[in-house]
Amino acid sequence: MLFAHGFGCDQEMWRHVAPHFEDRYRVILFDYVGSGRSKRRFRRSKYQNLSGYVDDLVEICTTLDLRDIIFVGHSVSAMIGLLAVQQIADRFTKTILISPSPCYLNVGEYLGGFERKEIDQLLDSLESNYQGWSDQMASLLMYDAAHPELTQELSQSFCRMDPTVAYTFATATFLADHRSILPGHAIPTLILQNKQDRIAAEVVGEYTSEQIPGSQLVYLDNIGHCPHLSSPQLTIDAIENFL
Amino acid sequence: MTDSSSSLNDRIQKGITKHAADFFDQAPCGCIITTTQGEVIRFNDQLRGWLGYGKDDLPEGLHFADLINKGGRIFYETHFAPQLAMNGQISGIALKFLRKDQTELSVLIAARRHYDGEGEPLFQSIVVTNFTDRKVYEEGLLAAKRTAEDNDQAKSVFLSTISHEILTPLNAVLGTAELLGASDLSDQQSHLQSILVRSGNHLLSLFKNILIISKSGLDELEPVRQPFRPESLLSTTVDSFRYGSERRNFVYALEIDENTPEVLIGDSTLLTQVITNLVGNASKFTKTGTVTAGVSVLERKDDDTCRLRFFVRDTGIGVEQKHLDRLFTPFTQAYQNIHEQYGGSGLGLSICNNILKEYGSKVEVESRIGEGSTFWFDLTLPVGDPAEATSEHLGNLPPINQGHVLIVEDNRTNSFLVARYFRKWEVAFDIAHNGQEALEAVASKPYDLILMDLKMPVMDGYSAARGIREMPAPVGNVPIIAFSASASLAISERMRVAQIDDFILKPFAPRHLYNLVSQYLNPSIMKYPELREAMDNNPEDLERFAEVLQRELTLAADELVTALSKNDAQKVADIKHKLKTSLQLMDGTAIQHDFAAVSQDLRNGVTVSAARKSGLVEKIRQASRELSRERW
Repeated sequence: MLFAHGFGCDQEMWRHVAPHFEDRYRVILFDYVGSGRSKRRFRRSKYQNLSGYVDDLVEICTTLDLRDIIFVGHSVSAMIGLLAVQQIADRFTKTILISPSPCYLNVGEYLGGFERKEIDQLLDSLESNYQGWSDQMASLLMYDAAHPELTQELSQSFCRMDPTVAYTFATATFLADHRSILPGHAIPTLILQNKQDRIAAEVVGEYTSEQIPGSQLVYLDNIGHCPHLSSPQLTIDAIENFL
Repeated sequence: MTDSSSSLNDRIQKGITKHAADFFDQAPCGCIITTTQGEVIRFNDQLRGWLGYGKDDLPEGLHFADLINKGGRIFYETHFAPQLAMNGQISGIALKFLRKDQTELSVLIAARRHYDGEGEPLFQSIVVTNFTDRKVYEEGLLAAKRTAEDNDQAKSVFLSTISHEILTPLNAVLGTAELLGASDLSDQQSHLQSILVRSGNHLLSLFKNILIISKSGLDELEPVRQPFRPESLLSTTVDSFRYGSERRNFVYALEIDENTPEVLIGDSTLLTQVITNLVGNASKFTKTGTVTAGVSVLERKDDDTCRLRFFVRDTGIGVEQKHLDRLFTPFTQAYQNIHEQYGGSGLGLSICNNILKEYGSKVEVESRIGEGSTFWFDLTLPVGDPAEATSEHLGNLPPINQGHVLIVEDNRTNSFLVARYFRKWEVAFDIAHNGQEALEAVASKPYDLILMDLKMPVMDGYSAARGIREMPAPVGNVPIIAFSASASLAISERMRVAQIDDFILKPFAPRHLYNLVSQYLNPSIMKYPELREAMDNNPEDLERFAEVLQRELTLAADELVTALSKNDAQKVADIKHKLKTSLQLMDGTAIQHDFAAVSQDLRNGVTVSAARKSGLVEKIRQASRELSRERW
């Protein structure tokens, strides 16, 4: 099982869910370049759209020579996963999409949920939180140096992303339109849709499910966009049922 | 404890509780208590006031995220909420709240989760600071920062463009000088010609430095991975200095560790630039003695990679310890008077570091005043296959003698140069002067290859390439190689979109042009049908998979050498088994056949001759090389 985290966080997001599957599956977690503890250099030119992330995902699959992959992708990783399947379909057996959205913008009749100016508000939040981000980072690093016994605190601090990375990733994520790839996705697919999700609303999940032939849509009684964090048991049960 | 003191304590407690409630409501900051899911439980008066809500008109079932503007809610869901859930706290977060009248209020937020004794989260408290005034300053600063960055970007683009403009005529100068060298010259003429080439190369190197600076400013410096010979890289670089300074009183020397792999994989253009800068510095500051360039092997990790130290050592003036740091700052030299005495831009070392950063390395220095300096850098590079690295000397190239090429180029000097080489290599060609002419030419007659300049009047190379691709097959499928003066080190997105197959930099190295042209004019018949089928003819997958196969074959060949030398029948059989699928995919039936025979003989105790053994190993190596040459 290959778990791919969403925008804003890192593989730690899976900590309540992934371990549950470890006894029966080879569980693979990773951080996207620029997120979590990834080591490769983040190049704006490569990651200005999702294809850079897709290439990396494909590289993970081919380098580790993964077969019969059950792909679990949260949020933007749902689309990254579908795009990777286009390239190496025979390596995948099932795809599980948590809170997916093929397009966050409202386009014509389609209601992705956001207007362009609202995405700009997001970019603005990312930019203005640069200081907060670096302050927190600095204080944590300082703790580490002055009090070696607090190293624990540092290693437990998750989901920190460099603002440049966040800005680029956000642009690639929220301004893209991947609706056209949905009908061609021919692998058994489960879609987990939150009851109250401010990023990917129910209509978006329903649209995604209608467009992916034969996909299964399951509603989770969860508030928010990250059920694997706020309602891990519901998430595990839904995945188990599907598998 | 007496009764009276206990009742006093009670009263104090009650007083504190009552005050705490007032304090909560009237504190100079906004306070919100929410469930662990973010649903609002309590809300203080202060915040109510800021947001324009009365005592009782807060909406039912309000969620904290509903207070934030819509775009900010994504930030809440993707950053704020997960961090709060995982780290238990978050602070210094700038967001914009929506007032009741839908206007925005800038706030700064700190939040905490509260847990019971078991570590179960109970609720969240959120403190909100009114940030309106500070936000105004912050926005001013941000705007200033953006302007500064834009200016910087504009400068980088300008530098990149101007260097690009200069590279085209420089290409013509250097190419002409090189052609001149190939004709019959007297000693005096040949001396003059060598000065022409040398100065041209110096100029070229300067502009490459500028390009590297501007590219790395634009975050566009992307090293390519290609095989190169470290020894020849060093000697060619040193040679270019050696013949350039007859009036010097010091000598140049090379020090190559004998364990250095023959071929490494890396960006030889960029590495040459680093070595050139270092040797150039050393030469400038050395009056007598030796300037030595060399490489030593630090660690040969396994067969695949090697850690090396490249160094340049001089017996020059040396640098004081306290000035060492300044060496690496762009446009800064160690001493004020350096420029007057020695010239130079002060760019060299910072460029070296810009390049080495791509490899996770940097230049280190050790220096003593009056004794000299050593500059070095360490790199871990993949080891390459000697068969892949072509010699850099122009030498006697055999005629290609096939194919018909269309040269599309508006610059007469450049097309003249290419034409001269093509005549030498016996390649038939036509010339078109712009994209429009190219389209007409292609429509009238089939070509095997098109060399296309990108910047041309009437119709540029991108449009022409797209136009050709729209023509029906097979005409539309003709390979197109672009002439690019942009010195980009990889095929650009624009070229990819225009379906240009390959590119060659201006000024072009004749040897490179030869390799590229002969490669496209001698297309091996569609090899590896099985492999192509298995990868659905997807070039990217094929390329990636071919790399895996190559590595597997090289590794197997090495293992096989050892196993065969020990006549280890079991091991040979294992290797054979391991390669089975790969060889099948590559139609390597001949190899499989040999393999089976050798394996069988070993098992039966039949002597296998040394020639047969090395023959088998060589066949496998050959297969790996062929695979690497294949264009997918």
